[in-house]
Amino acid sequence: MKESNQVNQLKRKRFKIKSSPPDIVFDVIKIVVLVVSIVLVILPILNIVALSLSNGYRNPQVTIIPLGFTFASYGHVLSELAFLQAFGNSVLATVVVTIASNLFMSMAAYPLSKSDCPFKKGITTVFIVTMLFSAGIVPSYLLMVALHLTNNIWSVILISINNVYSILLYKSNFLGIPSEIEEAAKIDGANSIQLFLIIIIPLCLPVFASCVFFSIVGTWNSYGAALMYIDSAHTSQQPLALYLYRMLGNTDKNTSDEWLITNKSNIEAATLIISVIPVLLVYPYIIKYVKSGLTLGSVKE
Amino acid sequence: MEKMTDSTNEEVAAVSEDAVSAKKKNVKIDPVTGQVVRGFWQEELHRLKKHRSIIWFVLPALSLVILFGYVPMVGMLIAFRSKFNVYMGGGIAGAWASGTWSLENFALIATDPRIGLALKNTLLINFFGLLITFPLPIICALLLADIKSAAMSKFVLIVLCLPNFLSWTMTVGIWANVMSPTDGMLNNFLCDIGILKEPFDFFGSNPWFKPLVIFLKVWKGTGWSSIIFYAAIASIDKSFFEAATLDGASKFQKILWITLPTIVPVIGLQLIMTVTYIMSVGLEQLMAMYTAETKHEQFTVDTYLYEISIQDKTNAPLATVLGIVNGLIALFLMLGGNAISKKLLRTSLW
Repeated sequence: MKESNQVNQLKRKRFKIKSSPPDIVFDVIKIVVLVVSIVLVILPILNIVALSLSNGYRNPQVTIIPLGFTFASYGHVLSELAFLQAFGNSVLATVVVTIASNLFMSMAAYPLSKSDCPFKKGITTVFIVTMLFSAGIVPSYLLMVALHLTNNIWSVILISINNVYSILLYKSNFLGIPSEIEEAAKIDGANSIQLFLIIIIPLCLPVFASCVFFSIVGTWNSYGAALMYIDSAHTSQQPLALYLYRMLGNTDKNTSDEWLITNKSNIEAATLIISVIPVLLVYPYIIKYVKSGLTLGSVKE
Repeated sequence: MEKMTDSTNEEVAAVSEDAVSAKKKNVKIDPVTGQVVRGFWQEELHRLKKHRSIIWFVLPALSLVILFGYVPMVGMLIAFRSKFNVYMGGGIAGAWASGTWSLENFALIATDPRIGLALKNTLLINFFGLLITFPLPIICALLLADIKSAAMSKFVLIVLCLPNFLSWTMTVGIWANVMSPTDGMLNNFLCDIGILKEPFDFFGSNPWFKPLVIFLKVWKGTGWSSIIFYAAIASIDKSFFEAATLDGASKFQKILWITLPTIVPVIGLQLIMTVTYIMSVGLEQLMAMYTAETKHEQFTVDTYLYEISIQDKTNAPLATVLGIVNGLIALFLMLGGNAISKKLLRTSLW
């Protein structure tokens, strides 16, 4: 017993270990912080779900249990033309951007992943410069005007297809494919398109999957580009995220319908909930593929 | 063994083939390696021929990047034309023709009366935002990494990452609802326990606006940002921790002397990326948080640019010039930060 004490003292001297709070302090802090953060995330979300299912209650307040349970707000949202148009626009934008962006960016990454790719440095630089520097709002807006794409959902679609970051991601993943596999496929008579679609994409499925999921969520949620190119007079062209922004900003009460006034916050809550459903459908897959190394640190020459 | 001879045979065959074709075309051959010596353009052309079946794969992405990345950069030249007004009609050609070469637009930055407020708000939010939003994900990752049960850590991860995938409108909608002065859960609670005498309008309050911006950034981003640190911690060799445990190190000491020093490169890279966006608070968040009462607090570089170029279309020259300066600042911060990280941490963004 004495000996072990001496050994411990020696160790403390050698490593200059100062006295520090015991592990139990750390564990208590850990549990408290994590429980509080989980509650902070879940509680507001449950609150808005409860509100969307409530019936025009302002007082007493809705907490996490709906008061006067009803789906009427959802029914109202789903019967609104502007909402349905916006939802359709967002579906169109998300589908086109996800497919086009991931196809084009991975295609560009494929030749760049070859060590003897012609003009490799030049092409890579051309891509990376746009990641580092952008011209700003006005020149981009003028370009959209010149292309006659303002107030058109396609302006948002076209500008969102570019994603240089995913080129880098795909490139670093293609580097890991053994060249023997490609040569074998070539000997079997595959042309370059078949090779890419049938051999390369399935081999890099995890990175394709995660990039696809991120495209879906990113396109669905963002409204910055739409805010630039689609003005408030063209509601038939706006994506859902822009519709939500304008809904939350809209404070005028120019309606005579009593139900609409008392249920305003319930309808807004229901709109938000419906708009988040596609994201929730994709979310489990995102978490699943998080561990496939989606970090900028892994993107290297 | 067999494999080796196979590959050397192949190499020899390839080299001699090269040599044969070289003889036909009178190309120089390096006497030591036996490979063909080519100039830069010859080499690139040779590679182009070799990869002609796949090199066109870059064309769709390249043309999009040129159209939406480089054409606007040419359009930036309009900032050097005097008295242009792009909204007068006639599009860019009309705006171009209306002036002469001049630098007067850049003087607008110095004389504009509102730009000071925009800069002040932007830098204040981003400076205090950085102080709070940067360390929190690291702390969160340290706590996450200490959870023993795999199922538990997965559950915590799924919950804490969720807000990152909600849009800014959703995030602001959720919290505006919770904090609402008329029927909000938070005000109700604070009044019940006696902290507040009457409901308080958090989103409509000027002194609370900046803290609220930072709070929403924390709520939305902390869980997801911690993933990258969490992954870095998970990749540390477990034997370090075991040895430290044997030496009697506590959890705090292990974090201080093993975990943090090991993930310093990751922390450095993340810091560079965050500092790069110092001039931007995020247009989507600020626009979603807009209220008439707090418009002076919400007034930042992002919203000012948006207002004068798109929303009210009042000052396109200033917006163009500001956009260029903004882009250059971000570029220099990124390049400078990357150079520092290359030197100090031996890691680079690309």
